[in-house]
Amino acid sequence: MREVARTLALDLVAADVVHALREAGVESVLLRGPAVARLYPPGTVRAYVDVDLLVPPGALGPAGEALLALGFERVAEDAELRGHRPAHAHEWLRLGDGAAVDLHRTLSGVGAPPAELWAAFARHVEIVLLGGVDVQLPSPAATALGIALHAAHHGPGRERSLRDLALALELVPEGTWRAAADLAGGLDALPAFGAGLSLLPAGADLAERLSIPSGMPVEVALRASGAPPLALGLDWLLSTPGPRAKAGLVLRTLFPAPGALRSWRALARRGRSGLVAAYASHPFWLARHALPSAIALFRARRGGA
Amino acid sequence: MSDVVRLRKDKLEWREVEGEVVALDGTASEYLAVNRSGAELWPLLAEGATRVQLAARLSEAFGLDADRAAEDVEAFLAALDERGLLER
Repeated sequence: MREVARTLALDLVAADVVHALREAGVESVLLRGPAVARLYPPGTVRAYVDVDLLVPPGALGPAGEALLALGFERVAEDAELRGHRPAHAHEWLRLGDGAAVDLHRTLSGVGAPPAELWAAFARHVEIVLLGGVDVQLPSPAATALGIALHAAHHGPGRERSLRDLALALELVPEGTWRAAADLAGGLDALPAFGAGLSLLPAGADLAERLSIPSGMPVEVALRASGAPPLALGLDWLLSTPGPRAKAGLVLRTLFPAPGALRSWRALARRGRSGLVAAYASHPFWLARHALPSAIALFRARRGGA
Repeated sequence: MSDVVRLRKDKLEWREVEGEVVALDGTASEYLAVNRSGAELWPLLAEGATRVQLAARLSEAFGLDADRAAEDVEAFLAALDERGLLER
């Protein structure tokens, strides 16, 4: 019942945020959450933990202003993440009720520019009434694509993503998956789409029927294989040009800004004491993940992930 | 008696779980658990329904006679109205 309560509360948060963004002149598409919950049979609850909104890439500024006015705070400012791999979304938290909102400029696994992603998702939306507010949800094909990309982003370790994928594979017609594959092709997202589908046997069969190529970039391979978190950082370090920039990145990883630490570790988001605990344990956290991450990266670069 | 009664849309979200309805009234920051007979009426109220339609649904679902069903509907609507959950 706690999950139901949280889901209802997040629906109302989503409605408030969408309304505030619209007042600020920012259109948005509500990803996951209610869009995915529509797949579930009546009487079952698909719980979600945050509100994910796709906004036009140029609108992150005014959208952020609207969130500030609603009492949200950025988890990490741009300056705190300088030099690190660009995030797909700006994370916002409201301490009062613990509500979390991710403002997406793009989606993990999409290679096309954010403007193209926005144009593709905003072209075919469905309107639902949520908490008295008209909210735009992605089309069924875009929802299916989002489910596969989300599964690829989290890899085999995230039960909720795999449950969504399993249900979508069972209930979404193959024609919709084909449309999702076309959408993925247009957005340079086929590798992540295929990687996400292939996390489950039924999805691997579907990927084969849809003739999705099996090769994938290192980042996609690392995420889809559930590599330790530092593996992506090591990969980014290797692709960062120049010794000076590399040294800066290493320093900012060893001694991260508070926002960077909050964006990496849930512990650091639990108030001041959580942040202190995260700083205290950071060297051990790095040490614990270093070797498994290096091995995962080596495998992914060899194409064996 | 033929007026349509409807749940408020603003800041009200609900889910049907195992035959019951759980709702969140965002205006009052209150969660509501609605029992099985109320849950039977809730989707109709979300769309808008007359008292006659609501009573008919209760009669059909629970085998109540018409008078008893009408009384139950009135009591349920009064409880919702008291909490400000009905559209005005």
